Amino acid sequence: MPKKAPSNTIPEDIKVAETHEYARILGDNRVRIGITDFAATQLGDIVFVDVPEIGDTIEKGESFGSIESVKAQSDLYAPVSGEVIALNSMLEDSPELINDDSYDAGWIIEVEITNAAELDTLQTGENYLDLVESQ
Amino acid sequence: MESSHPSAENTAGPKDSPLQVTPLYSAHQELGAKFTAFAGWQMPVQYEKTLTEHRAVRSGAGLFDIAHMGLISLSSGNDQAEGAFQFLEGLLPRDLSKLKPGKAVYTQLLTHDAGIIDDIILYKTPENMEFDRLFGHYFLVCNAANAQTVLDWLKKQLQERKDTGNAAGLLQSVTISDLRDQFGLLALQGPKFADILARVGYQTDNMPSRFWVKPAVIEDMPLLVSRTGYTGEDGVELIVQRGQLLKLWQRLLTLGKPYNVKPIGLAARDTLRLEAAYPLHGNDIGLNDTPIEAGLTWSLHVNKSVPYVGEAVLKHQYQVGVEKKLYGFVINHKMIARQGDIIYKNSRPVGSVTSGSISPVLNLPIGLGYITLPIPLQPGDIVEIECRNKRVAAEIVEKPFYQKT
Repeated sequence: MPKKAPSNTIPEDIKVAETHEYARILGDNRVRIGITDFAATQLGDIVFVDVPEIGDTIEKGESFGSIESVKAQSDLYAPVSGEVIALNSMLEDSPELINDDSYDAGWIIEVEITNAAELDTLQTGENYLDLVESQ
Repeated sequence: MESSHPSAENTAGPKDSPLQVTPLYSAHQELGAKFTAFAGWQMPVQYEKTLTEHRAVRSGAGLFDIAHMGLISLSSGNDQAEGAFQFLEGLLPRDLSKLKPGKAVYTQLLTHDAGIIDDIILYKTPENMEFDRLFGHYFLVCNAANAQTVLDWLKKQLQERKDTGNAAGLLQSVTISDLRDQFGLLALQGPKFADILARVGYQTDNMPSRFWVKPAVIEDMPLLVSRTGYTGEDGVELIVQRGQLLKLWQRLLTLGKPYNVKPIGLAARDTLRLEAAYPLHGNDIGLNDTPIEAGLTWSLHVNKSVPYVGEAVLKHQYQVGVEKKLYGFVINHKMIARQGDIIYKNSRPVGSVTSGSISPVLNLPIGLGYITLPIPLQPGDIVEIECRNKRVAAEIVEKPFYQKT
């Protein structure tokens, strides 16, 4: 039976909020926001993603959208503040990309951040994994 | 992220008692299953992905461990089915007088108020059951969560009838047996089920018709083949000695490989049954719902000649109609309504959702819910459902959501 190995590493350019959303630093004050592999696995099969529109602003700690999986609905909380500049259009037809490849093909929105210092309040991938493993 | 798991509560068993496992527990572990507590049992909820498993059943075949389900037989001894027949005929809202040996029917156990204690498949035991006499004259399969309740209720009903002396002569010989320690069920469902049965040596020209059961032997294992299921696909449920469940499971998975048979967890079992609009006891039907309210009138013989439990309420509802009804709906929005969400019509609360998920076939959120209105809703009518502080439009549709072609 094919089975994805549990991901126990997180790319180094990723910072994670305690609410399981990540921000992947692209440079030029741009980040891509998604949810961690751990969170995606907990949710199970993701079937819908509800996201803001390009041009909308999001506020750190505030809900900016939601995810529906077969078993539950989850709100998405912004790990950083900024303006939405791109959406992952692949998720429209293939929301399961979040389950399959949460850090690359499964990103959710791209944001131009307004306060780079907010990134320093997030966990490193290593710290985040220690945190969820100790739970 | 903050998750809500609205339906997780009522699926768990008694909090303090240890969970039971079926003889397939280790096999599920080896397949990488994730487990969940369900009705006091530790059961596989998913092996790979729920949607993959769902589609496997719709397009090929899926194998389900349902050895947690209740299995109860009724016998009246001396090869006379009459006592067991009279007992059941006086209980159930369905005419059993024309039931032939080997026939299965869907029916419900009701309270005097016609509330649903459980829904069951009742079998008149086939002839030629020399492999095991334990199946008596009738047997039934009931929900795992209600297995003990059903057993206790049947025994209590029998004792009351024995004590009152009404038709006591025949009823004195009736015995009720819990077979779950000795036998267990597997379900093989999907368009390729018969091909897979043929591969394990089953004589498919002996295949029972829909809602019939026949004894058979597969690789020296005597078993019962029932042409029933809970998925909306064609398929069978196999009743085999509990000690042989593992061997049968492994043979079906191994020899079914050319047909891409997959093991299926409870999560896909739930999306499959919801797409087929089969009610789930504890969600869509329960003690506060009658079969007429639940849209199960097709399974009733309300005016049958023998009195039965719940008769007065059913006859009344059948005659004057009901305002509360179980409807199916789809949502044209990326929101899944969950159990307990409130349904509104013209801004007034009129009901609540009993089951909600995605239909993988329609790729739309679907659900069931009770709505109480003096004038029934029609397919195409729009209601609103409050999903997490957001009112979304839902369209009433014909059930089932999916029908195999």
